[in-house]
Amino acid sequence: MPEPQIEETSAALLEVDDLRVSFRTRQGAVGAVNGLSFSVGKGEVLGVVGESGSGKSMAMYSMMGLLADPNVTVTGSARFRGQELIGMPPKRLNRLRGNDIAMIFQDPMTALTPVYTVGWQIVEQIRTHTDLSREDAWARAVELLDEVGIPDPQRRARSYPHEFSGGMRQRVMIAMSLACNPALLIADEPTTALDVTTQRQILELIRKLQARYGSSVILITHDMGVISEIADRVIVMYAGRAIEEGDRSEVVRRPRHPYTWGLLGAIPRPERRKLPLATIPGLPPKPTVTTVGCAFAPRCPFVMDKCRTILPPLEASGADIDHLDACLLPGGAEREAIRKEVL
Amino acid sequence: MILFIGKRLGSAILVMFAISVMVFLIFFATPGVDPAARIAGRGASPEVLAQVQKTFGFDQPLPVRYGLMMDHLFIKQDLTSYVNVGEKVVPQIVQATPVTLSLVLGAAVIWIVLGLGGGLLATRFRGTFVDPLIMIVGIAAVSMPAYWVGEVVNLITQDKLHSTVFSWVPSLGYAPISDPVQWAAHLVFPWLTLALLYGGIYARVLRAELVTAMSEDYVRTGRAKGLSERRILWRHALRGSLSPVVSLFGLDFGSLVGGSALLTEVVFGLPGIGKLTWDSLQNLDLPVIMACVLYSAFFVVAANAVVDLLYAVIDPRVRHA
Repeated sequence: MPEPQIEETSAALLEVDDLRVSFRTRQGAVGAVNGLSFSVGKGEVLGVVGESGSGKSMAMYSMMGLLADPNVTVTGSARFRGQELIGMPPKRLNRLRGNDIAMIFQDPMTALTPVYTVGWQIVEQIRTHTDLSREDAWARAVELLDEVGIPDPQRRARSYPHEFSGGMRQRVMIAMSLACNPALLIADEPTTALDVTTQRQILELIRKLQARYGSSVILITHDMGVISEIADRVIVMYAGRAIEEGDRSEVVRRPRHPYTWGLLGAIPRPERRKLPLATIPGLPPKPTVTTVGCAFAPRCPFVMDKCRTILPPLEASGADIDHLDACLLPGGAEREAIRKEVL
Repeated sequence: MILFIGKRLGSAILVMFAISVMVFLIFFATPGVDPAARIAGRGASPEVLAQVQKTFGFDQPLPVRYGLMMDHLFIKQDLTSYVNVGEKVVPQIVQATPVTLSLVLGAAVIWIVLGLGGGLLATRFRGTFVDPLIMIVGIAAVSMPAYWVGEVVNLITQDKLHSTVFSWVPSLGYAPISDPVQWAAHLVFPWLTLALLYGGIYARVLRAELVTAMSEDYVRTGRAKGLSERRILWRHALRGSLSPVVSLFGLDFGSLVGGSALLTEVVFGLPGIGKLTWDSLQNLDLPVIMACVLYSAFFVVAANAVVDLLYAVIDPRVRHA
């Protein structure tokens, strides 16, 4: 397929600006994503982390046009190679989806159509976007299955999804998503439904294939451990907003937002096994309740009066100008000192 | 798959055998009832009774009697009605079968088209006025009893408008398929009448299934793959949604061919199985009743076996069960 040439000038592959997703409900409009901005560079692995309900999956689905519900309103901008995704007509979107932007989902048990063989489903993907013949597409499907580590791919291509284990099914999903060499792979909690050993294999596989194909990856997860393993850059989301953003090593080693401290503190560590596991007290805010000020304020151990009235902007508060956070606590070394008390 | 087919057909044959035994026991081994007198009919002479005793072997043990009965029914096919003296039972059924089959098969084609079309259209245009419109038409079709619709149709086509628009409609009754044009002309309104009811049900069932399927994860995968909505609906959602429709069809088809099309048959004067069963019940014509019951059980069991095989074709997960 000839690649359009217009967009290669911009450095970022995907630029999201002030993305907002809201649902119309009986209680009025409910914001799931409240002004999210980020960008993904070529070949970059961006980790998006946050609790359930923080809007991370919603943001991705809204960009991909997967929120077909008439009660959903999506505003803002998401430009992929310069093309605006929000409001793109379905026909054009379908040329991008699965071809330039591929997705894998949380639950591989239900993400494949149960009544077709996995080979058939990969062939369908290939033939939707290319002119390959049935035989060539089948050969390519077998090749892909081999590449993601499915043993005996020739035979397994003729198997149905229910004949695979969870981890193997996620491998099939990955094979399918890579079928058209996508520039961007969005992985929505790809390891959440899998057991721990399988999780690691799947992450390694994504990492390996990412290096091989040079795709950019957006990895959505609620697991800080996953992020620290494969992401280049990290966005921490809370209540539909990014509250911290930066290079992986910066965010993991020198986190600046109290919420990130809580997330990192909740990872079990062998040297602290005698201590009770740290948790963040309280629950994420209900999206039906509109908060003035910082959404994390009710759960924050360092909350100040102004936190409840002022919405902190996402900006650099320390030495690294690419490390952003949305917190009103004093910046610089003072913040480091506060962090050392808890983490 | 071949093993599955073999197993399924084997169990169907077993079920049919069990049904034949049960029907036989109900008719001939119910305590306190003299089956000979029942078969001979009301006010039969002692000679007739003696003849009945002999042909059905009532002086012999039960298994032998069962064997004799099946011999009369299936091998010699000379089971005789004593109510309508001399009338052989099996030929009556053989004669009525094509009538009922013509009626039900034709109607089934129409209601499947209506049901699938209605369900798919309603799902495709969900959120517009088309969806509720189809569903309302569906519920109206389900709510109208076949005999009433049939009478209204007859009133219009045979009487009110018979001199103008519907002058081509032949008088009530059945014409054999050897003359296809007459056959179809006789059956077109019975078909439509019967299909209306089932088409409404099928459209509603299919729509419910499709709407559920369209919110499945694999539909989201399909969208993320860049498939068109049409392809997602037809190739992905429809396939899984067909299973309940197929099982419904098996039950409906089996029982309709087995005599449940009675009301339609009576209204349109079609001498089918339903009509035959009805008449034999009126006369308490025991051999005919028994033969009708066995015949209808045969179709229900056969239809269910076919449904299970279709299930396995539609859904690979069933094949290994």
